[in-house]
Amino acid sequence: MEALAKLQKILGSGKIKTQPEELFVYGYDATAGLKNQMPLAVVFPESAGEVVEIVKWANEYKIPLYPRGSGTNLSGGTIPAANGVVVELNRLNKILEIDLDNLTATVEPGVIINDLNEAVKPYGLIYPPDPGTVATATMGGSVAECSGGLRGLKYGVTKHYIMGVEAVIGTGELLKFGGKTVKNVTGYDLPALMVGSEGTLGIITKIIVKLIPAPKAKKSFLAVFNSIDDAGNAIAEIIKNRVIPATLEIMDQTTIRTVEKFKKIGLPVNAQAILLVETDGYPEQVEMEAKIIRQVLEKNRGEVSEAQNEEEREKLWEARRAALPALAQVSPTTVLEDATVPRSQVPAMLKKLKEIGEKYNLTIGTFGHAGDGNLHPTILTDETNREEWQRVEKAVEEIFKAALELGGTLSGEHGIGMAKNRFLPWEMGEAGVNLLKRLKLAFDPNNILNPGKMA
Amino acid sequence: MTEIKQEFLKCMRCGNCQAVCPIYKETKMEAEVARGKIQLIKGVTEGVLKPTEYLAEKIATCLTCLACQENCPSGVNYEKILLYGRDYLAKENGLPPVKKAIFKVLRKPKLFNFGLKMASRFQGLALKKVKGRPGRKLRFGLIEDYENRLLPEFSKETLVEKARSKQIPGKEKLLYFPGCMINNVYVNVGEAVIEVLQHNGAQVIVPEKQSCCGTPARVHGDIESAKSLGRYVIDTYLAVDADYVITSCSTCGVTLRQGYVELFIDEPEYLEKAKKLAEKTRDINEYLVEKGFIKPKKLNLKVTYHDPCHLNRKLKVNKQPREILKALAGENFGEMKKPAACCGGAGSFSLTHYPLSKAIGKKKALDIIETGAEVVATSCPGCMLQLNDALAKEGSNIKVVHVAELLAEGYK
Ligand SMILES: Cc1cc2nc3c(=O)[nH]c(=O)nc-3n(C[C@H](O)[C@H](O)[C@H](O)COP(=O)(O)OP(=O)(O)OC[C@H]3O[C@@H](n4cnc5c(N)ncnc54)[C@H](O)[C@@H]3O)c2cc1C
Ligand code: SF4
Ligand code: SF4
Repeated sequence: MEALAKLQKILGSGKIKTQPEELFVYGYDATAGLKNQMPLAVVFPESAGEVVEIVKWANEYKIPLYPRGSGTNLSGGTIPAANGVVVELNRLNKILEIDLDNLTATVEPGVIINDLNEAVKPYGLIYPPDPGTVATATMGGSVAECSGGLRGLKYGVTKHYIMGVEAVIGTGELLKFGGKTVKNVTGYDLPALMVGSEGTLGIITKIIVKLIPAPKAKKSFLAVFNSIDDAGNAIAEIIKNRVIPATLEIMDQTTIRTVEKFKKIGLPVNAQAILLVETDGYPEQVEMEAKIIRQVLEKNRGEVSEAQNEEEREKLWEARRAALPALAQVSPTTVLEDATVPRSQVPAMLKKLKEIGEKYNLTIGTFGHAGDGNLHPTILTDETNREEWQRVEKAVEEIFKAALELGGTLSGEHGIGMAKNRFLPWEMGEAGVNLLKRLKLAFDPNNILNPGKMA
Repeated sequence: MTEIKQEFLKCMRCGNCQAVCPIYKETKMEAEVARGKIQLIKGVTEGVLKPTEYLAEKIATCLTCLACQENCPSGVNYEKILLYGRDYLAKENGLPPVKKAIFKVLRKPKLFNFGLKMASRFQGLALKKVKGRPGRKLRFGLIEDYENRLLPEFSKETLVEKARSKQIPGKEKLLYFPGCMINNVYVNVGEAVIEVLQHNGAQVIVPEKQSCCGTPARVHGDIESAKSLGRYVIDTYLAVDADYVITSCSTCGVTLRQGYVELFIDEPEYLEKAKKLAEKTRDINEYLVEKGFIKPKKLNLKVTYHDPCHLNRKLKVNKQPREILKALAGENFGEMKKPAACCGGAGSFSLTHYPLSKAIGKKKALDIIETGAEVVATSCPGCMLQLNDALAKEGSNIKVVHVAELLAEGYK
């Protein structure tokens, strides 16, 4: 093929793969239930200049490009089309600068989130966004998905830490948005637009992030509840008392039982819910907040245990960390959703999820970031069982509907991609979706970048 | 087949294995991490992909260190899938000619031992001595850059030959299985193992009939060779009524303890025997700690420990060597950054994928050097070979030893 021969020439050998065995492994990501789709080629640019060349080439031949980091997203965001080329960015993986005066770091998109945190740790700093995949996900991928994580409640999500972005937009132009200044109102807020753009507006080649001082102290609690309502009330009341914990996580009965079955760490299998709460900051503040947290948990009939040292803290968190792994071992396919509701509606959403599970005769384990309303209802199923898979699809639709009815959103952190784009009008209306499409064309007039995703 | 299908389905493609795979960390290629290799094997066995040489090469690009398996949230048995894939491809494509030839010799213990004996005589032809270092280098290059690899010397006398004169009675009767590398190359490790066991009051026998344990053939899909070697080892080591069978090589240990039981799953007669042998087998570290080893004198040495992958992840022997080393070095024992990270040796992987193996070894060497240790101990001759080469490449003089060698020192 002429186009590929040209691309080969532009990049030189070693930066393009076309063997079916190589193509095959870029035909999936972490999303369940999608068909493997082999692309035409996979390219591995090693500089922003090469990304520019690739995008120009794609415009010339009208060949779509599919940016990819580590391929851990859960919305089919990296799945290519058969006539497309995957642009793998993990070779652009340098931490370019740690600026201790401005408390920023400048990184290439292929840097792994954890590697950035390890690099800034010696300076007493952190980059807070911490999706479950911190050890694998790239900065580029997490910016493109606006990833959240455990610390979202107090520290926010990826969008709160991105100050500047350099990207190659669909026309092949290399542009810089934002920078190192805290304040910047020049033009539209384009760095913000790039965050969560899922590779549809530009290929990110550089990112400037905000760093913050690492908290000095921490305190963790685990509370066991015999009713979902009590747990829900406790969540609301902690916040009403003007305490914003770093993390406030919930696990429902199905999750508790599954974790206990696989891990045997002594969780109460008859409990309806477990809350895990952690406060962090200066020691005095942590002491004060810990007192309030304990009072609220106990008042709402929670059975409270407090970690006295790092070892006990690790133990408490082991239960939460084991949630997804344990659920994943129960059945062949694990459908992990992330419909999100306002915090006050968490109890209502939990009840709704239970009903949906019963209605479609499916096992749904729910855990997640209760403090920010971002729940992860997890359906345990088998994608090869066609009849059951149909029920799963119906249940997922109903989960979305329920979240929207409660004033929430389709996705809190996993993205729309190709797994959820048909539901977009439910939340945004046709006019909203059309605006997204027009925005996309402004950046990418030939529809080169990740077509078929988002809108 | 259904069993392996279940295993395929268990992989939720989360990509967590990327975080720990030493190969992925070097190459960043999806086809070379567990997730990718699982999908490739699934693809080829389902007929979506063809059983090409290229695919076989991807499946071969693996240290079988099992770090991925240990870190897998879904509990995927990666090793099972990998071996299934290699067997499948070996059946479809046959083995690469070089490996076929090697395994053919391996299969005949007498011929193999004769070959090694000859190697010890004629190593000077192909291997040149390296000044100031124990070891040799190839005089000419067959494999990219391999001429620069530091290789150990073949011993003039095998362990079996040396052990003949060392018989002393003891209260427990132990049969020692040295394995190819210790019997022929790291003979001094074997001697140390015997000394240490004798010091602890045991009678140690090294049977005359030695052979390879069969794992190198097994992991490349040559099951028939592996089985034939397995039967030989099992028969030899069950022929004497001993209290325990002792191993001092990570790979051999796992083979005797777990490998044969899996290998002979469809062969009732040998399955029974394999189980019997498995029950009796102990890694040297494990045996010593289980029996409460005699405390050695303190050595004034800074020591660190490298975990051989399979001893650590499959036999879960990791506390015992540390207990022994702490008895020897006390406060002078210190951990390196990632003691359980694979050294990159991985048997014939270091031969077939030397540049990659070398890059992984470099990381290990730097971690070892960072500790400031004078000696790095481990429990596998395969790791010793790799660590020696990796440390030499960094210009380091840190000594590589087997735990048994240090303990023997402490008993002197
Ligand atoms: C077990 C598990 C747990 C998870 N937990 C969380 C969680 O707690 N919170 C959360 O938010 N997410 C979570 N995720 C989702 C996922 O890990 C994140 O979305 C992650 O940030 C994706 O990073 P990646 O490098 O894998 O990106 P990829 O999956 O490779 O790509 C994601 C998207 O970004 C685009 N993209 C990638 N690189 C670039 C670039 N340089 N320029 C432009 N576009 C680009 C791709 O086209 C795609 O649309 C989880 C996933 C798994 C499997
Ligand atoms: S960690 Fe396990 S489940 Fe996840 S991709 Fe790797 S093998 Fe599959
Ligand atoms: S066994 Fe080791 S080298 Fe092979 S895929 Fe797993 S982690 Fe990577």
